[in-house]
Amino acid sequence: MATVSRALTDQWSVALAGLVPVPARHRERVVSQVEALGILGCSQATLEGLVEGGLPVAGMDAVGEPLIDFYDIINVGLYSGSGVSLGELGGSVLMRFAAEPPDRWLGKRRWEITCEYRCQATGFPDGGWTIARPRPDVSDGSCDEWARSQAGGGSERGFLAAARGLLELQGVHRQVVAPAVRRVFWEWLNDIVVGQRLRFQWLPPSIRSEPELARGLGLIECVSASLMLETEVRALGFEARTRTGHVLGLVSVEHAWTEFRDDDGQWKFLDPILAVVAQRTGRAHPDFAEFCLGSIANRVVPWDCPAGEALAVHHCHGAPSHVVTKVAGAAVP
Amino acid sequence: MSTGRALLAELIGPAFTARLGAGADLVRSGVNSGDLVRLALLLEERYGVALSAHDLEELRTVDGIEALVDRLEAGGAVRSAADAAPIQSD
Repeated sequence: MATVSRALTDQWSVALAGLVPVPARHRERVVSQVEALGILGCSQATLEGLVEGGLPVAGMDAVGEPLIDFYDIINVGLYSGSGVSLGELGGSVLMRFAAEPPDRWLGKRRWEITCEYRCQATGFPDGGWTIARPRPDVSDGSCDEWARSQAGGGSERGFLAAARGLLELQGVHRQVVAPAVRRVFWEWLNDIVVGQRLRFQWLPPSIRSEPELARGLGLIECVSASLMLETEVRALGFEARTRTGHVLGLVSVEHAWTEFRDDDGQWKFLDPILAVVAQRTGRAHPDFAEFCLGSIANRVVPWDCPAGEALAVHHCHGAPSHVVTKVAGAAVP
Repeated sequence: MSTGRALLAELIGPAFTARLGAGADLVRSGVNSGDLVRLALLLEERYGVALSAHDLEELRTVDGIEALVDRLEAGGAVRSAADAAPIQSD
């Protein structure tokens, strides 16, 4: 934990004191001072106070200004209570649906999704793509259209592929009947929200896909949570799996959860992190946490892809390369 | 300039806003998700309402923004419900 600068207001001091910084060996992306100010929505003096107070500096840029880990910046903002940081604003907008009456989460909704895949390895245009398909059928929805295209050609920013889909997503209410799984779910929520034994933070891929590493740091987010919960539910004797998805809306965000076969033979959804994110907005409907125990909303796209695995792989220069995926969704009347 | 375009211009600049067609998809035209989120917050602040998830889905095009602004000016947006409730358990 960082020490706290006296120059900071209470809210920023608390956010900095609680931050669990990304260990230096897991730093994957750093941001400039200008980018950090854009993410935090704070003054230059506040950012300087954060650095003076112990926010780790990952290096210096060409003009001698600090470079800071992207996730450290997002997470300080997330707990600042300022209401203006990008993490807080994004969560508030993304989870607006969770404040609405439960009947809006259920039933069928049609969405058009567009996906862009960008291979990070430049200079090797050859090689095919493996791209996961949407699986709305796991919640009784359907994929009415799905078309892939290789946008072709390389550029200095990497090689592109794209896909477009027309999906009918079905929000379904499924109640978990297995008492042991219900107990595990509520223990998780209490650990994160009430006991704060696990702290919700955004994590770089190299930590979130290693649940024991995340747990050792006292941290949790959707990928690590889904993998840990899969292990726990399997240990109770249930068939379980994880899944990558996207929550659609004005901003669409990659997500992951656990699924298990309940005592009644039906597959149920376990999504404590979505409940946590909704709770953090301060506006969640009182039934939303219970909804995340078994059910899925009609704006969540399941993919044919387990948690922690890439939605797309570009097979270039003889090995799979890291691909950045962007998904956007628009409701179709 | 219409109210919707003027709000958008506050965030992404008048020159970029002027290039956007009325029905063009904002994301595909290069407006980033941070700007869309800030547009939503700006509308809430200006009109003193909390936008619903359905309202937010309209912020895809300049036409969508205009339609939402028209509704807000006519008093048609509804403040969304409820303070946070405590997490429940069995």
